Amino acid sequence: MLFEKKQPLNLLICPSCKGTGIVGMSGCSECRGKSVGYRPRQKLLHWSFPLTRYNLALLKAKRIFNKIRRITFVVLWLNAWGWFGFLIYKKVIWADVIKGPEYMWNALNNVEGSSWILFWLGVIFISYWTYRVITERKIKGEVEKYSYDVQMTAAENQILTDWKQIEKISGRQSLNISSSFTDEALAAVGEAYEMADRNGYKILEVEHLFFALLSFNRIGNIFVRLGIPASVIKKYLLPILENKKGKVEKRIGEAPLVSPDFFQALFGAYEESYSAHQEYVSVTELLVAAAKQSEMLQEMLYDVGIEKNKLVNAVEWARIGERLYRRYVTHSRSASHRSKSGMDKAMTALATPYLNNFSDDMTLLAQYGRLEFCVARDKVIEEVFRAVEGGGENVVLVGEHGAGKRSVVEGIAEKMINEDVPSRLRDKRLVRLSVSSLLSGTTPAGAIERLLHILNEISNARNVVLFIHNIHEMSGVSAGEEGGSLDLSDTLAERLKTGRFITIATTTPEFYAKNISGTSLSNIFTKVDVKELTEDEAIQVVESKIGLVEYKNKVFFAYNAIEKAVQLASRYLHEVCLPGSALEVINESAAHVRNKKGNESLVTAEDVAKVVSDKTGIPVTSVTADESGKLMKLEQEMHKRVIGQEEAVGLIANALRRARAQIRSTNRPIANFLFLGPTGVGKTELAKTISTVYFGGEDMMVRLDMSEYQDKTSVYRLIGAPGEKGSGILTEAVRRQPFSLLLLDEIEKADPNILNLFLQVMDDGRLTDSSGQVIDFTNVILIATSNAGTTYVQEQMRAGLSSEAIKERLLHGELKQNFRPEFLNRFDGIVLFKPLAYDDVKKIAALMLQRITKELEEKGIETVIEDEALDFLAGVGFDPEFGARPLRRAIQERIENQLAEMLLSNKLKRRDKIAIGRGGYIRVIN
Amino acid sequence: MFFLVLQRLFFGAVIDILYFPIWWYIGGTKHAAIWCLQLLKKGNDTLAPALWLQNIFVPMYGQYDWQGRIISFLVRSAQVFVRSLALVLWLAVCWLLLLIWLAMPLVTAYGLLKSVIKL
Repeated sequence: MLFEKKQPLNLLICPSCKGTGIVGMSGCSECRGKSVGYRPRQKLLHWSFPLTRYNLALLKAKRIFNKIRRITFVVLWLNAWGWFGFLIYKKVIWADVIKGPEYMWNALNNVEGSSWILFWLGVIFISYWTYRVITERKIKGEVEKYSYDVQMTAAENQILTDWKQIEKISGRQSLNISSSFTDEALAAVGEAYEMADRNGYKILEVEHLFFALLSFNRIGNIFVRLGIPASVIKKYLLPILENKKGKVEKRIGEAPLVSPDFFQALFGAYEESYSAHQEYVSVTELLVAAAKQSEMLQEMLYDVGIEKNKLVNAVEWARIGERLYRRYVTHSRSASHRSKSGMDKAMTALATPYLNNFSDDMTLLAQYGRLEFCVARDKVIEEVFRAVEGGGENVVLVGEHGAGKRSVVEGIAEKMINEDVPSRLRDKRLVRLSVSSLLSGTTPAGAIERLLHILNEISNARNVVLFIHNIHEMSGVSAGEEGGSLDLSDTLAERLKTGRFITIATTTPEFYAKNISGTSLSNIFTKVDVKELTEDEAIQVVESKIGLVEYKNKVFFAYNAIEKAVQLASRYLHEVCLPGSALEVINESAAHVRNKKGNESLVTAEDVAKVVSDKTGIPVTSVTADESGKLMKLEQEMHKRVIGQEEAVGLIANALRRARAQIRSTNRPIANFLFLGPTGVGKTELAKTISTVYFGGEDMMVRLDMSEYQDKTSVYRLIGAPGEKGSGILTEAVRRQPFSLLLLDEIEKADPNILNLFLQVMDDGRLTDSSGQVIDFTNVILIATSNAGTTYVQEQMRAGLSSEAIKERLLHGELKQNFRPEFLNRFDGIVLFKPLAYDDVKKIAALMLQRITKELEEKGIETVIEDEALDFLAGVGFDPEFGARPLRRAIQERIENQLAEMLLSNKLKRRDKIAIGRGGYIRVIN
Repeated sequence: MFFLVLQRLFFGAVIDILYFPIWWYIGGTKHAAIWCLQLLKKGNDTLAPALWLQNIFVPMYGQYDWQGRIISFLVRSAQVFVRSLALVLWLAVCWLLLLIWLAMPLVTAYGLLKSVIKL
C-alpha cells in the first residue's frame, strides 16, 4: 500500500521574499518576516525562520558558541572558587577557627580583598551560567493544544490569498511554527539547506530534508528497526537527488530557493504533531511529513519494502519510547507523594488486615512501578470513569481472553496514583481480590463467611476500590472435602447493591451471558465492553512492551517481526485475543532466537513465522526452494497414489498452491470441494493423499462419516451439547487441529439441517460451538464426497455422454434432489470422478501389490510381480459398478491368503525370492 | 560570510552580558517566583492542613464511637495546628529563597566593590 494522496495545505508563500523572510539584507516588508502563512482552526501559522545561508550559518555557529560559553563559565567559576579556597587555606590559621564562630568570622575578615574578588567573580560566573541554562532550556513555543471541538479538514480551513489579510489578524492568534520545532528538527532543516547549497542544487527539495534526516540517530534507529540501515536508503536516494539536479542549472554563488513542497512538509510536520497531541515538532514528524509529501520518496521506500503503515508504526515505536519515559518520570514523582501504608491522606480510612490476606494492592504495586504501562486503552478507561462519575458503583469489563481487561484496570491504578481520575476515585486504593486465596482450604460456606468479612472491612475502610478479576470464578463454586456447592455471586450481589464502595470486575462475554446477565449481578453492574484491538493498535501495544522482552532475552526485534507476530496471531491464533496472542508469539520468538542465534541477535519476521508454524502446524514461513519445487510437482506426487482422475487432482493441486503462496481469501476455508462419483473410484483415497502430501500425514485429516448424522439432533454431536464445553466432535477436532483436511464422507446421507451448518463454514470459515466459542475453519480444506446420482452418471456414461455434459445435467437435475442450490453453490469445485477403466484397475492393482511387496521386503523376501498377475487381478477385481473396491477383496483372497499360508508353513524364508504370476499363483524362484 | 557570523556572535555575546542583570530582575525573577510557588505547592501537598481541617469532625481510622470521635477531634486539631505551623515555616523558606534571588546581584555588587576598595 502506498501512502495516501496528501491534500496540499493552503499555504501562502510571500512572493517578494520567496518564503525566506528576507529581501536583500533586510526583512521583507510585504510579509514582515512571516515568509509563509497558513490559516487553520482560526489561527495564523507562519514560518518566521529565515531559510538563508546567513541565518542558518549563524544558527549553527550559535549552537556551538553556546556550548563553548556554558563550559567556559563553569570552568571560570570552578577556577575562581578553587583559587579562593586555596588562598583561604593558606591564610587562615585553622587552630583558631575551630575555637568558635567569632574566631571564624575574624579569620574570614582577615582574608585579603583580592581573594574576595575571586569569590564574588565566582558568584557572577555561576549566576551567568544559570541564566544561560535557563534561557536556553526555555521552550520557545509549543504546538497548539489539541482541540476535540475543532476538527476541520484541510479544505475547510480558511484560504489566505494575500498578505494584507494577515495584518488584521491579532498577535494572539498567530503562531510561529518554527518555534515549536525542537533544536534537532531545526538542525535537520538547516542541514538539508546546507547540503543542497553545497552540492549546487538550485532548489531545496523535500528529498534533501529526508536525506539530512537520515543522519540523525533517532531516524537511523527507526530504519534499523525496519530492517534497512539509513546508509542503504541514502544510496537509493542519491540518484533521485541527482535526477532532480539535472533539470535546473544553478548559477555559481546563487543560494538555493525553497520549494513549495518543502514548506508543505514543514507545515505538514506541524500538523502531524498537532494531531498526535504532541507539544513540539521533532525529527520523526518531519520524516513522516517529508515521506508523505514526495511521491518519489514513497516509490523509493516502497521499493525497499517500507509501506505507509510500516513507517508510521515504526515512528510510533520511537515516540512510544519517549512517551513512556516521560510518563515514568511524572509517575514516579506523583508516586513519591502517596502513602505506602494504604491510608488516605486525611486518615479517615480503616486498616484492612483481613482483606490484605486475600488481596493485592494494585495502587501500591503501581506506586512501586510493578505494573506495566497501559497503552492504547484510553477510550475504555474513559468509559469506566464516565460510568463511575455517573453514579455507577459497579463496573464490569467484558472482553475475550487477552483483550486487555487487566491492562485497563492497571491503567486505572496508574491514573489513580497520578490523581488523574474522577473525584470519587481520588485518594483511594485499588485492591484486587484473589478468588483463589478466598476459596482455598475452606468449604463454600467458609468462603462465604470470608467474603462477608472482607466486604464488611471494605465498606468500613471507605478508601478501597475493589477489583475482582474474572468474577465468574465466584459462581458455582464447590470446594473443600465436605463438598457442597454454593454461589458466592449472590452474597456478592447483595452487598454490592448497598453501593458503599466501588467495584470493578472483569469477565468474558461467554461468562457474562451465562453467569451475570439475567442473574442478581446484572442489575448492579454497568457493562463496559473491552473489544479486541485492531492490528495497528496491537502493534503499538506490542511496541510499548517490547523493551522488557528485549531486555529479558537480550535480543532485538525488527519492526517486521512485530508486524508479522500481530498479523499471524490475529490470523491463526484464535484462542486468545489481540494483543495477548501476539505478545505470546513475541515472547516465544525471543526465547527461540536467543537459544538458536545467541545473545544480541535480531528477531526477524521469518523467526516469528517459524514459531507460529511450530505452534499451529500451519506453514506460514516463506516458501523455500525445496518446497516450491515440491509444490510445482504436486500433481505427480499425488498421482503416485491416485490413479486417473486428472481433473480432480489438478483442481486440488492448484488450490494447495494458491494457499501456500498466500493468494487466497483469508476469511473462508482454503478450498471447498465436492467429489461426486460411484463407490471405489478413489474419492477418499484422494482426500487421504492430500492429507499426507500437504498436511503432513493421514492423521491430519478430520473424517466424519455423515451417515452417522441422519437426524436433526445430531447437530449437537457436531458442535457440542448446550452448556457442555468442548463436546462437539467437529468443533473440537478443528479447534485442536486448525490446519487440517475436513472430509465429510457420503454427505448426501446427512440430515439437511446439518448441511445448513456447513453453509456458514464454507462461506465465512467459522462456526460457533455450543458454548459460544468461534472456531476458525479458514485453514482447512473441506472435501465432501457423495455418490448421489451415481446410477444416473453410469447410465449416461454408457450412453456416451461427455463428463462435462453429465455434470451439467447432474447439477440441474439429479443433485437437486439431495442438495439445495445454495449448498452446491458454495463449493469451489464439483468434481466428477470417472468410473475406472480396465487399465486404471490394473494400475491400482500394481499399487496395491506394491504395498504387499514392501511388507515382504521387511521380512527379507523379494517379490517380482508379473504382468499376467496384474491382468488376472484386474479381471477378477474389476466391476464397473463397485470400482476398485472388489480389487482389494480379490487381492486379499487370491494373494494375501496364499502368502499367509506359505509364511505359516515355513515355505518362505528370509532371502527367498518369489514371483506372483498367472492366476495369482505364487512361486518361489530362488 | 564567516566574518559576518563571527561579528554577529561577538556583538550578541556582549549584548547578552549587558542584558544579563536586566534578565535577572525580569525573566529570572519570574522563573524563580514560579519555582518557589511550586515548592510551596509541594509543601502543601505533603502537609495538607486544609484536608485535615476539612475532615476535623470525621473520626480517624473509622472509629465511629463517641470516644473515637472525641480523640479524633483532638488529634486532628493538633495536627491542623502543627501542619499549619509547618506550612508557614515552609512558606517563609520559599520567601527567603526568592529574596536571596532578588538580593543576589546587589550583594554581589556590594561585596565586589568592597573587596576592590579593600585592595
